[in-house]
Amino acid sequence: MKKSIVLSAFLTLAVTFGALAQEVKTEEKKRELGHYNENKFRQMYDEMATPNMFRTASGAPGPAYYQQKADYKMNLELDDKNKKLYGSETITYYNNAKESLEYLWVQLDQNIERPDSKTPLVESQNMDKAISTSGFAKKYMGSPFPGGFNIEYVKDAKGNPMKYTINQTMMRIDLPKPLKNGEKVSFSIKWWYNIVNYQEQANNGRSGYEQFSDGNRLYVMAQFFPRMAVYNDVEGWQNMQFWGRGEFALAFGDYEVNITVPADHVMEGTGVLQNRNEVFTAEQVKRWELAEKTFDKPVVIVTQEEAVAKESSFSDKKKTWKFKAQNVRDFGFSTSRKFIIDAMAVDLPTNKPLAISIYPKEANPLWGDLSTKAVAHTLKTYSHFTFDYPYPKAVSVSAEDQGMEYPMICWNYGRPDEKGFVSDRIKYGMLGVIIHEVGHNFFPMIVNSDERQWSWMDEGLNTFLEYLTETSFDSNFPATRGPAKNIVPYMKGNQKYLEPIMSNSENIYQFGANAYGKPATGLNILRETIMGRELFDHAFKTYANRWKFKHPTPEDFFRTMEDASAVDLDWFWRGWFYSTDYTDIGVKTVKQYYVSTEASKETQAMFNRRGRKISDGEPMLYLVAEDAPDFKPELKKAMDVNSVQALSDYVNKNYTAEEKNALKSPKYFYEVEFEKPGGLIMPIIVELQFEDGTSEVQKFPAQIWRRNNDTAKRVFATEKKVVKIQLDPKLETADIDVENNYWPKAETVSKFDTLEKK
Amino acid sequence: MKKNLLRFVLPIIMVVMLSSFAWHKFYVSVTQIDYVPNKKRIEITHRIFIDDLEKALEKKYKKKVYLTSKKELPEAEALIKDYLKENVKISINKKVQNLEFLAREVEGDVLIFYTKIAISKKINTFEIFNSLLTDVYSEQQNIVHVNINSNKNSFLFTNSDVQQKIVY
Repeated sequence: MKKSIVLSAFLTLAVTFGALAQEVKTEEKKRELGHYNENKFRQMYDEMATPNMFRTASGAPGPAYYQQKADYKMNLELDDKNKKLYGSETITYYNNAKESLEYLWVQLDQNIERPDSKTPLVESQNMDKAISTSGFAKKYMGSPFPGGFNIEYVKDAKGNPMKYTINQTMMRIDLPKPLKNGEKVSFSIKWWYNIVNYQEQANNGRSGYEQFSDGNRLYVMAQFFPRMAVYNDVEGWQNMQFWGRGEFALAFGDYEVNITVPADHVMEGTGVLQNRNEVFTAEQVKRWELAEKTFDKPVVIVTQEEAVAKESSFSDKKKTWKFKAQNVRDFGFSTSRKFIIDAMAVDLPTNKPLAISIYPKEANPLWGDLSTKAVAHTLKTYSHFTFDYPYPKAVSVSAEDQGMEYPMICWNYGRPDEKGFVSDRIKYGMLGVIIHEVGHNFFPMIVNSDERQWSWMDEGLNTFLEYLTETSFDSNFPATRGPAKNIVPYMKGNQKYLEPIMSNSENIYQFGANAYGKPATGLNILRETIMGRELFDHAFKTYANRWKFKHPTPEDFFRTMEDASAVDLDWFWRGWFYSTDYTDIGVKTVKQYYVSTEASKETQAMFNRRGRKISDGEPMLYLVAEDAPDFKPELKKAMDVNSVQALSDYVNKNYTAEEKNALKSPKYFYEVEFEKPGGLIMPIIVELQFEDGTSEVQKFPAQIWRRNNDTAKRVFATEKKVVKIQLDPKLETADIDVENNYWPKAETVSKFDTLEKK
Repeated sequence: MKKNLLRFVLPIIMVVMLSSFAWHKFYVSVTQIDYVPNKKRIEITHRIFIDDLEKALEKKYKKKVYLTSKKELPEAEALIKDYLKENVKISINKKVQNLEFLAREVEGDVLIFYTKIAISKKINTFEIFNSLLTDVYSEQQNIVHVNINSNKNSFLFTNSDVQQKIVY
């Protein structure tokens, strides 16, 4: 303590004199201005919402947390010939907020298909300099698709018309008197719309029909009914328009849905089918019952022969399918004459859900072989990392060009080509999309984040678990979104085309990399490199369990991850999620030192300045750099403790024989300076490679940058000579420039050198 | 996949429609160009989504090529070289350069192409033409990063913007 006080007093003097001397010459030199706290480790009080009674500082729902509930009773009828869907629904809405509501907002997502939809109008266009005749006719001569909701009425529980106003994809229903806390209101809406061919006509292709050349259609129906917007403590009404990319913010509720379709159709939908005996043959019902007890392989319930036999029947008769679903945030269904069904049960500790696939014959044999197995594996893996899948089933529907998720049901692309050939790309593409969309049951169907505002909260978390699921499904799975090195091309891109992850879905340039790849990679880095699997997995599981069947915000996620792990991650969130900074850490200098018992002139001078004599106190050892002015060549050798008299005397005097045996015998001494041209903070991972071919990895926590954001130094004392130092040898930190990761600055053998030699 | 669609749908539709799962449905290719004077070469790395390129090859050559699958046509590599030659052109100091094809590599759903230009003289002007995949996707975006003479430039090429020139 004392020593440093003396030294710092001396330094202060020197600095003062220096400053005085300078002032004579440059009188006008301006004093440097002060600054706010710019430390990269400062806590995120400015960026994050203040914790409150709704959402606690620990990231959990607070004592005043509430959420609204919306129950639906719907009767639907599909007109297959004319491609129309008719519906009447009764919504019962419960206000659990303390405040009263004067009006309700209902989402009319189908209106994105209206001829006057604004979605096509907010896109920049380029002139097509070459265009097919059919394309020209459609683009310049055709009329827009007559889509969108036709609202026939909005009535209150007594049947009186209610006042409503439609603004694009949102409808405000004015209440005759405010809906108070604890009250509920019921109202009915009758509507119909023209169903879009999602491959050819849609402004938003998440739902509609796929046309087959045999005259059949395969319907994937979603966003098909007026749905309650979310009202909560964060957004008030989340009534941001549906532009197409930012998906949905939806309240939980219970559904009773009756769907009338041609009698020869086969259907799957959200919830539990109530009238299986009415819609399936006795034989098929038996197969269902077998599937519910079969855990090792899918049981075919509607066979390919049965499906093909109906392809040309085009029945005029009707059948009504009745579904009930509890505590879901949405409802979707898929119906066609062409469907084959298979299913198997999944053994989870507290639930035995069914994994189900429905697909036309065109999807076989690929789908029959793999889809249901992928669904089952996804439920198991995701349950392991979050909570046991709580719903009774998860359905994967084969629909070309699709990849879209709803509670208990999702649409997925990937079929053999017309000659029956399945490339690995199609196979893994189909498996990847099934895993991803089934995985969405957890995020956002159950951990119900606001997709309209934050795509990354479901896409990023889901892509992270998708990566773990894919690699455990098949060790050869070409899973690309997860490993740190794969995000480098994105993160080193032109800043003009980059936005922070914390950006609204509609305002992102490279959406996939931003909302899927980068957050998934960030979580992977936390798990593998920063927190470790045990701490990460516990915290991630805590977040999932705290917020299942609730509405979390980004802060709830960030805070829980810290709260459950005692790892301060504000620096990570700020850098990885709130900025477009990138990682670049390098080796600046490496200096080797040798042990001497003689002080160099420089050291002597330092002692003199401090007014101390070298002979004072215990004997000293001196570490001398090779480039010191009075470096003696004979010093240049590995240190041997026994040959340094003062040190061996000390050891002999102070250690027992047993203790001596445990002592290390360092021989080489290096001072390594690291530089950080990148703005992101990361741990420094140092691999020391020794002359005998062995190596050792040392890791310095990110906090090594807390007082100096540009450079850091570490001393390494090793028993073997270091011949090479490499930073981040396993490419764990998304370092965008690895050229400065080496010492000595080896001529990095580029890809091109090896290619040229060939 | 979306065979009919591609030819005539409004550009925005594709962008919006498949945004739910697949980032590669954003029709972006990335090209990195580095001049390495001590190795006397310009190193060019293209990253292109396999299915997009396959679509382009099938449209241009009117046959299925089964790119990167075990059924890949023997002439696929020649078709790729031909396609790259037609859609990526570079002139240095106002002289058209020969791009030598070195190799290709699969990384997930992306094909990486390595090409080079042998050059040792000082680069005063660098012109690049890039129309990759704009023949199949009108909304295709090609990002090109150029690192020459310690100057870094990035460009965005689109259907209507296929040429850039840098003067050093």
